[in-house]
Amino acid sequence: MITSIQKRALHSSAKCLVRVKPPPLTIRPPIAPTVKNFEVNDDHPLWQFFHDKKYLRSYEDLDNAGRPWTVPELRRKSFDDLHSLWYTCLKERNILAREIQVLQAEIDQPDQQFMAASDRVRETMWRIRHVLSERAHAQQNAREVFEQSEEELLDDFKKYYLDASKDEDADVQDALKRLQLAVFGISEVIDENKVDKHFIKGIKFISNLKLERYSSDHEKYSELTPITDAGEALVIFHAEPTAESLNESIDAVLEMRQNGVSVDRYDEIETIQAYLNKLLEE
Amino acid sequence: MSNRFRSANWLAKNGYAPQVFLFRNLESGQVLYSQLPTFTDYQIKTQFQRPNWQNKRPSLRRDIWRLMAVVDCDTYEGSVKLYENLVQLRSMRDLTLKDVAMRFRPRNKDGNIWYSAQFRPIYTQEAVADLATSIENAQTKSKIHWEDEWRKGEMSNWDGNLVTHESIDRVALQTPKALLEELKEKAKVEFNKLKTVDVEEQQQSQQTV
Repeated sequence: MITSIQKRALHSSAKCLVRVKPPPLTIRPPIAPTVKNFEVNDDHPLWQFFHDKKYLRSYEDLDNAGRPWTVPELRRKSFDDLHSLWYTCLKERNILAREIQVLQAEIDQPDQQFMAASDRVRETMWRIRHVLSERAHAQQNAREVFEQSEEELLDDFKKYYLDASKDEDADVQDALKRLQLAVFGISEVIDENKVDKHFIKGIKFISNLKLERYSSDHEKYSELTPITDAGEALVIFHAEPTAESLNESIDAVLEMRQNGVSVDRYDEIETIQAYLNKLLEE
Repeated sequence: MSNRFRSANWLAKNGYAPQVFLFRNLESGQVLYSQLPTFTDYQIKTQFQRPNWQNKRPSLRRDIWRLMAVVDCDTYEGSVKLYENLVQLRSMRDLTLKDVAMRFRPRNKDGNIWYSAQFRPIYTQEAVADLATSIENAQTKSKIHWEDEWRKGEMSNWDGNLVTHESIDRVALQTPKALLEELKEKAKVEFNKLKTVDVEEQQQSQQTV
């Protein structure tokens, strides 16, 4: 005898219509958070604290063969080189510091190999500072010496400049360029210049020098010199170091004097700066 | 309002969306489930039935509770079922299947559950596991808005047909009240959209019959 339940089981519809029961309610192991859910940009600034985007370098990946830069090596480098080397070292130390911190959590003490690598970088860094301080002291000393013997040095140069023969013209002009940059801070490139009292003093000194060398036999020379007006000095300063060019500029200065054009002593810096700015715009 | 169990009808009538809210305690890492965007002593009493020194009954201080996740369900019945499941799983972990739950908890080298003062990260991880189980059991399509997507763990734990994940805007989290209000409105719009689609499908099937 077949029961009604058994009869129902024989129908094909019984399988289709069977109610799908949801999985029973049971507890499952806890779900731990994971960093896989994050997407980080390749240019994220914090990547700078990772070497090659690695969480931790192996001992083989560490630079064990290298040595710190020596002071004589660093002395040969320019300021820009030292500057970039400093930041390269700083980034490397940041990476190492993070890795040491990570390792410390595991082994309860700072890792010796990573510490040694960090110390090597640190050594380079104090040497960079040492070299820079050497340069700063040297500059300071030079400035002090220069302050004491500025007149003497300028007199020496004046003598050299005026006594040089015509054949030495090119050398003399190069020396003048070096002097104007070193003593008065006047650069050949206009936009590098900052007009201050040294700049004004420089153009006055150089214009007088040029006049004495190239135009001392001009009829109006004794009337004209010494040049004390900054505007006049600038006109002569700009002139080419030849007799013709300087004579033209002398004519221009005389015309200025006739027309009563002059720069007030108290407005020199502003007026010359404005003139340079105008030149730059053109 | 959240001082008693709320039925699906009540939620619909009172302008709530079919949602379930998970709050986490900053001090202990414990998680509180709620049908409404607020919680009271009622939830704490029902969800922390057997407190002990490790699993203290948390306080109601509002400043130490933060939103952990908001689950949008496709029906009000689904959201109620989901909430019931979560509460039931909590009682299973604390009471009936406590030994199983304790076995799942990873230990530190001293054999204790990892802790820092009152904080135990395992509570949040268990709540996430329970959420996945509850959704599978309730068979309700849901969208989870996470405060931090980090918590959802491996994607293999989630039923891809039922669950979608989204993360909440970090800045919006600073004003939780406005954020919850916004999520509610969005969920209601979504629910109404689904409802109209259902009605249209039913009408079409009737016409074809």
